[in-house]
Amino acid sequence: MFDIFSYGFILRGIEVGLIIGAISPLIGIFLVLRRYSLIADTLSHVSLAGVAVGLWLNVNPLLTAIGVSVASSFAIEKLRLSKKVYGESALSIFLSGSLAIALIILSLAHGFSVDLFNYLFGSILTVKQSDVYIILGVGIVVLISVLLLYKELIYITFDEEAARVGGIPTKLINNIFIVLAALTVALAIPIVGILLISALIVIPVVSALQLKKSFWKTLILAEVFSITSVFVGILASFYLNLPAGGAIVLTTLIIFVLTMLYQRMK
Amino acid sequence: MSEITHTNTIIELKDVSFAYEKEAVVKDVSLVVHKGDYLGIIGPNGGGKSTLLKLILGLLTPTKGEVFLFGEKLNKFKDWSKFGYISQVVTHTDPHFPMTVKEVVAMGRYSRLGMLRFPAKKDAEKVQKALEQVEMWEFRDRLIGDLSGGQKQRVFIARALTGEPEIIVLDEPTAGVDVKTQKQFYELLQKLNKELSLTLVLVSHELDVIEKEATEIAYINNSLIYYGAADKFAHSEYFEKLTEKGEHHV
Repeated sequence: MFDIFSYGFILRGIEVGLIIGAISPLIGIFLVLRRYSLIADTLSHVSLAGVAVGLWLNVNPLLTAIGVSVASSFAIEKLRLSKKVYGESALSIFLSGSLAIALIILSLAHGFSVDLFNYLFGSILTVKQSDVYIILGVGIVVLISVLLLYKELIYITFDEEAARVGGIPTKLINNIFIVLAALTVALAIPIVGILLISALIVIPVVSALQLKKSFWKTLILAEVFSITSVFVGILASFYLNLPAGGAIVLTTLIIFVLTMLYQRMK
Repeated sequence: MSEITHTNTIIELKDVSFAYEKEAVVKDVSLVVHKGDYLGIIGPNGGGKSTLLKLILGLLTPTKGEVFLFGEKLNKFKDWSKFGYISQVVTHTDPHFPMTVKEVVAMGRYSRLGMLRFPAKKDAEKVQKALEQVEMWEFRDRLIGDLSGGQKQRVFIARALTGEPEIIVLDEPTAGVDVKTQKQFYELLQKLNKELSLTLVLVSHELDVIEKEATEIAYINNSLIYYGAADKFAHSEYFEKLTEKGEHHV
């Protein structure tokens, strides 16, 4: 049964998967409650432009994805706050704009390859040891940052105006937060792929919210759902020969349906 | 150090004006709030009363004039833990937000704690004390969204109290609650004002309630039309005039 752990690539996949599974709800809970779920989607498409740059320049695409998504996150937040366009329009401008840029760069580089498919849908088989170190390092930074800013993030999410009056530097915290979101999205690319990242960030949180608990318990439940989904998804991909990203997101969906049923039966 | 000599001045506005684009919403308003005052800011919708409150709290910057808080210029003022702020709680709170009464009230400690510091036992005690003051301790583990409008108001008062403020500022706190709950809410405010000698500034469109509750009244319709003692306001000709014109909303 445990022969699965004798494969290096699976171990790397599980290591990376668990880190991503742990940090996704930390970002997700604030995104969902602030009605910013779409930001995860936008940042993931922006990351694709970053991946394209990496493939073109022959640099580790994970690094370029991190760079491009963090840089764009500032621009997204600025455009959103400027109120020159509606918030969600700002997001679609970035979403489709970066997709267009990614397409052009990819065709300039070497056209559409298997590589691209891996980035779109994730592929734990191709996770390199260097990726594990990058994801572990940046993942720890995200984790510690969220924990340190936990009470400010809660206050801003619940009542931004009162937080501002209370002297909390809301602008600074919002900027740090969107950078953390951009980092999380970029890190999740190898596991679930660009097209499924927002599902991993959003669905475990939405499932936990169904159970109507305190903030703290909701976050713990979301963590449990997220980490379980990643683990079950990777096992399923190994034994049933399924794509890991799809299996992980399907598991989150099954948990979501179960929480809905549980809530209804109560 | 202080630029103002009488130490019990909490808020001072000097000829403050504010305009969105070119339209002046607040024009040349000057007023002073002293410790222990209960100021009701009233006026018609669109008359600038919420804007005035935002100017006081530094959420907006005046286009002209100056705001002083505790004797300091607003842009130099740092000690925001002296302020408790309650916005339109009943209409603004997300009913599905996963947060217990205790967690909501604990937020009131955050600005006192400062960044990168975590709540300790002392903070939990303050939360309990504040919830007991508003008679909501037994609801501590309930979700905020499951409470009635009046209960939510009490929780938000407790949140403001945990920060041990000197002044509580309220923006239309009774929007969306029934008359009976409203009455209890104003009784609680009286208790805070008289027993804890907390300074209160309240924005409301309920002119007839506020003139009975508050000690001072500022009637603003872009510019300050009446500013002074509440009992004088009731008999003033302003009231008659404004009522006749139908400019106040009940």
